[in-house]
Amino acid sequence: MTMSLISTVTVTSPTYFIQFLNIPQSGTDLYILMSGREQTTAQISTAFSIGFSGGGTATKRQLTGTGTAVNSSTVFNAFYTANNGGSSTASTFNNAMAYVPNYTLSGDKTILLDAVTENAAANANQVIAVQNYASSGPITSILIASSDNPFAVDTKVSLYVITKGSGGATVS
Amino acid sequence: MPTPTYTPLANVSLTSATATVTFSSINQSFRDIVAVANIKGAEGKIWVSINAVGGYAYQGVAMESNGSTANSTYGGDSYIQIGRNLSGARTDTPTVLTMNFLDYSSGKNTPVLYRASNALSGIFAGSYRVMSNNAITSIIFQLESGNFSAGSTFAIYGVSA
Repeated sequence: MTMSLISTVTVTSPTYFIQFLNIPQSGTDLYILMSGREQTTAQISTAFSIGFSGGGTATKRQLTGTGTAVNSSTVFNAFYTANNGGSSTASTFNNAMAYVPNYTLSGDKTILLDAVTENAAANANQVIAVQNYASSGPITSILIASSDNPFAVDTKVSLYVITKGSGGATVS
Repeated sequence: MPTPTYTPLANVSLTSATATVTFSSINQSFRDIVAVANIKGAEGKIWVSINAVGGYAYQGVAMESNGSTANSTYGGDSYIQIGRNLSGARTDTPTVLTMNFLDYSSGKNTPVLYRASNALSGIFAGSYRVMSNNAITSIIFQLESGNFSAGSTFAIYGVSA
């Protein structure tokens, strides 16, 4: 099996930060799965941020579906919040995956993101996004942060590494 | 999306400029194939062909986001044509390409899902149907023009049912 779980963080009391440190350098790609929400009852549409060790200036592109429209923009809203205020469905979470190829190599890194907000109504964001940022070394840590309100209890993030290999095909 | 059933099949990291990257004699014992590539090279589209099949054997739909507008297209092509103007030429901003070849050994017009993401050019996502009754035994990557640059990486994985 080439996909290995490194760690899972489950929020048991509200917190603004989720951090993975000392990420093993034995893999090829990183894969992050997250199910999260903010600790608030307000109708909000902010985004969680995700940062990597050594990350510098970033360029970004994003395609967003809101339930009623589609937008193209130069942002990277890592993990849109779920919320249970206003018109949102109670106890809904945002679910997202991020993929980082070649995380152990030196040089710039590219991050792919897919995210969708649970909501039994039109007001729910769906995001596919990419971010490239200047970097000179491997990724050794990841910080996921919520700026407006803390992550709610039962927010969960898992980090996996994927390792490439050979023997199943010929490459030329 | 990765799963614990991933099995690595083959990979290559280019050490010099290369026109094509070919995975052949692909193991037929899995349900799906996943390809992941980190591509640097000449600006333009990425072309992918299956078993060297040409003609208008690939029917597809796609959507794109370039940072200011969102578009959707469809059509038939001689290749799986990915992107519109991917700026792979900037070695500091590679294009990350992920592809899923579903039920690839069945020989039943294999569906292919792809996503190419470049932080300067935009995001391109779509699906193609390979109009062929043969199992996929080879996958060929090339650029619309020019070579892949050194430092480009390609890997394929088998996914068990």
